[in-house]
Amino acid sequence: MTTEPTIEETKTNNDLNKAFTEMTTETMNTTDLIKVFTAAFTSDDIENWKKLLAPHGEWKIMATGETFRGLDKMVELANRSVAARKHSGELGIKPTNVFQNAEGTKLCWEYIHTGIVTENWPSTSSQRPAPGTKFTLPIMLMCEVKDGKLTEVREYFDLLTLTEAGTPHHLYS
Amino acid sequence: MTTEIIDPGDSIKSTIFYTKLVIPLLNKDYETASEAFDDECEWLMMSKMRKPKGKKSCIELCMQGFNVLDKPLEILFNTPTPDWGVFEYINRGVVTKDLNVLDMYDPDFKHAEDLTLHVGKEYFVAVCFVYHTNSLGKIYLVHEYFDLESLKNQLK
Repeated sequence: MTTEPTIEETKTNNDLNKAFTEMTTETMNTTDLIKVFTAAFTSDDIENWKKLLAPHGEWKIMATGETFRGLDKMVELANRSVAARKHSGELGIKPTNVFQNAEGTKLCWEYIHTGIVTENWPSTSSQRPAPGTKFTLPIMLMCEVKDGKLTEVREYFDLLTLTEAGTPHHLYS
Repeated sequence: MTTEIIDPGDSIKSTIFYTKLVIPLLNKDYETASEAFDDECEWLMMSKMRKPKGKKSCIELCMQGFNVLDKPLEILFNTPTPDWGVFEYINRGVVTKDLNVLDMYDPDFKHAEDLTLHVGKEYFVAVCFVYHTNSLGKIYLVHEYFDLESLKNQLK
């Protein structure tokens, strides 16, 4: 993240750190995990977000086939993702459907991500949306949970929604 | 595609979405498949935010999609709970001369003039359904995720 946090953001982060510390004195249950995950994920708080990941966990981007294994790689993904877009005003990450199973081992976290593409869009993308492009992207995270940590996350979305934002989809045109 | 006998104890396959919808669809038993849906079921396709609504529209969408499958589904994960679930699979296939696979995913796709360039090419796409069921065990909401971008890149 490149900008200084506002007073409000600092207050939120402090609250989150406090909540996280309290919750991790014992293994976090999945309901608490959802609260902390939601707070961290919707505020680009990578420091607290990474505490929720199992050290040997993995995050799969189903659209591209990429798998990020281990904490360092998952943090790398998070930094890359945060740098690739910016939020302002009403834009951001808004969860729409969040469910867990009775055992607390599965978590479904669906959200709508609205943002503006930056110059730092990953160069590995086959098609890069123009910086400044505003996007609305529905995303689904299917999470496996063990001992209060995310051990595997499979992320589904449609890249075409980003690369051809707001236009009909055409092949070979 | 042949009928599959499901062991009720198989937690991976013994779910409303799989047993009451997917299996009948694979067997082209659309009447049985349509009974999996609530009358007011809504199916949201995330790629284009298309939103077919009602049992008839949902089953028509399924017929269109499952008709092009020529191999058994490669199930990745099937997460059932009493009132919601997630069904994830890989759809692998081979492009035929009519490229109908693309129409299945998005009717707005514009095809190449020389379709023969792509016939025989293999493709795969990861698909994820998030669904909700009511107290009658009927599916009343489906969110479908798949990536048109990677499919498009495979057929360049």
